[in-house]
Amino acid sequence: MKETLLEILEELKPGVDYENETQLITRQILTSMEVVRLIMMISDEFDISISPLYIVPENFESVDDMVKLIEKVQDE
Amino acid sequence: MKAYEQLLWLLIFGSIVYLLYMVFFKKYRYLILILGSLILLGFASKWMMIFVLLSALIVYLFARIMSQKNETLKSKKAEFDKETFKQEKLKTKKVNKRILIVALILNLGLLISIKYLNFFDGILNSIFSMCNWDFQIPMFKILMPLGISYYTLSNTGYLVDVYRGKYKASKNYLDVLLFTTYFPCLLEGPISHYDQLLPQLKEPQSFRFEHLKKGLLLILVGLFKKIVIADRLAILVTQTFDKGVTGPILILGVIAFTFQLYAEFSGIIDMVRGISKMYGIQLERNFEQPFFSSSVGEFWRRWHISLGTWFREYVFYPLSMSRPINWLCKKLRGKVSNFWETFLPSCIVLFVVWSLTGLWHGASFKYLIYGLYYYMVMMIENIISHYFAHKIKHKTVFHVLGIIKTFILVNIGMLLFRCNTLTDAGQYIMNIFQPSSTKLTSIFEAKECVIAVLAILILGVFEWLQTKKFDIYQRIVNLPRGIEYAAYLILIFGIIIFGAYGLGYIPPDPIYGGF
Repeated sequence: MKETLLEILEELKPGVDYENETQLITRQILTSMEVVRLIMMISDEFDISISPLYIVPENFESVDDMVKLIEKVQDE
Repeated sequence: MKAYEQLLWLLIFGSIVYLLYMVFFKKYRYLILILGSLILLGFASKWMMIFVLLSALIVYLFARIMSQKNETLKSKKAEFDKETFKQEKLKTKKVNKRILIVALILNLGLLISIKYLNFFDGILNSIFSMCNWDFQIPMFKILMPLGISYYTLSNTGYLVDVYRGKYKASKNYLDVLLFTTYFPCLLEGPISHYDQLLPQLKEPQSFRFEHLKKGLLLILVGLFKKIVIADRLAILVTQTFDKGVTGPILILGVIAFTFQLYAEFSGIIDMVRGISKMYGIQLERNFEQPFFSSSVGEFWRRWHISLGTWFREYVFYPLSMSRPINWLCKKLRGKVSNFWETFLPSCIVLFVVWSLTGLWHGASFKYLIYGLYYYMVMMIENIISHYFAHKIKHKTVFHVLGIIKTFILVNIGMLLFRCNTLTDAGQYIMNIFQPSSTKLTSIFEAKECVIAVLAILILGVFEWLQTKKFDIYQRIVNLPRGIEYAAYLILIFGIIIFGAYGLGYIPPDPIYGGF
């Protein structure tokens, strides 16, 4: 899952060290609209529906946070 | 009643509520807050009080129905297999969506019909005139309930959060009433989140001397901003905007209005946060030194933060994730560069967000243009930043230039905001280039000018320290007791001596209170 996510992020906004970056939102590397696009791409790829409820910085600061979010939504 | 008499009255009223709260039975202390808020509303108008009671009742009932449906579904989860549960979940969501729509129509409908009825009336009447129809809808005289624009948004947030399943709806009507009417936030917000504010309001807060001191300090800083800066600048602003003055002095008038608005709005919010702090209640911040922003986008992330957060959570995200925008994103994927793939959908969504933000401030085309002005500036800023940001070498210089640019652009926005109509704003700009009709000192005495500039400089240093993560409030409270109390006394006497009140001053009404 992590590899797929890294590919999605690279397609969304190339040139960021996603594997090591842990403050994607705090450091404003990803904008609000990029997060929305990311959610759309994730939803398509993993066939899930992410509620706007989950659009909080804590869920998108790092790839690991996103993996946790996807797993949580898949479990629901 | 004059504004300062009102302020004094509120101070006495607030103190009585505070004392009663601290001595009342711990378990029922929140009832004092409800009672205090209702009495305050009742003093303003008994109809307003009834209106708010009903409004809270509508929100309470609809949230309960949605929550019950969610709970029923959860309780049956074990009975279903994964696929059936998914189907049931979709069904519940569909039903809840309908309930939410009705609730929003009722909740926002009240706001729209009270605040925007005459605006739509005006549009229809203009269309009738253009079509040469001899028919005009009469304008309605409606009393706008105190703080309706603020608590309607807070309540809408509560309804949507319950719909999304963020938390369960409260089983107690008094909880919703407490959240809706919490009196410090009634006049000018901040717009609050139910899950952050209500637990603090319900928790029986105990008297703590540190809370009292910090709260009083915030109130004093707020009073300084309001009485020493905002009310003093109001003299110059009234002269330049309302008395037909011409010449470059009008530029000073706009700058004075920008500082007046900031000092007043953030000052009142400081007081609101201070009152809450006295109880031990922590409210969300509404301002974060906005004049140190190097772009207009950043400015709006630091100005009226609770409004921006509300629009992001309840308008921007749902719209961005809607089917048409999803469709557009898919169409654009791979056909344009990454930047445009993000930028074009956000152009559409933000157009709606900023139109609504403008109209939230008031029901007129002026406010719509006010919102769209910022929208245009931010869109242009985004494009310029994308193509040129990486070429900038002297980052500090450009940061400072960015702050100056932002200040100028914000002042243009404030000019639109202050003038009664767009024509007036155009005329105001034209008048800047006319020969001077008067000297600055004849409309704003030299003494007033010196005090205003010094007070703004003090505020500027105060805010700059905060941008450097220097918690000045905590530092003052931590000072040796003698020095700490001397600081409070300096602030109190500073307000009493340099405050723009008394003979020769006309206390202005709070600007954001009108929204």
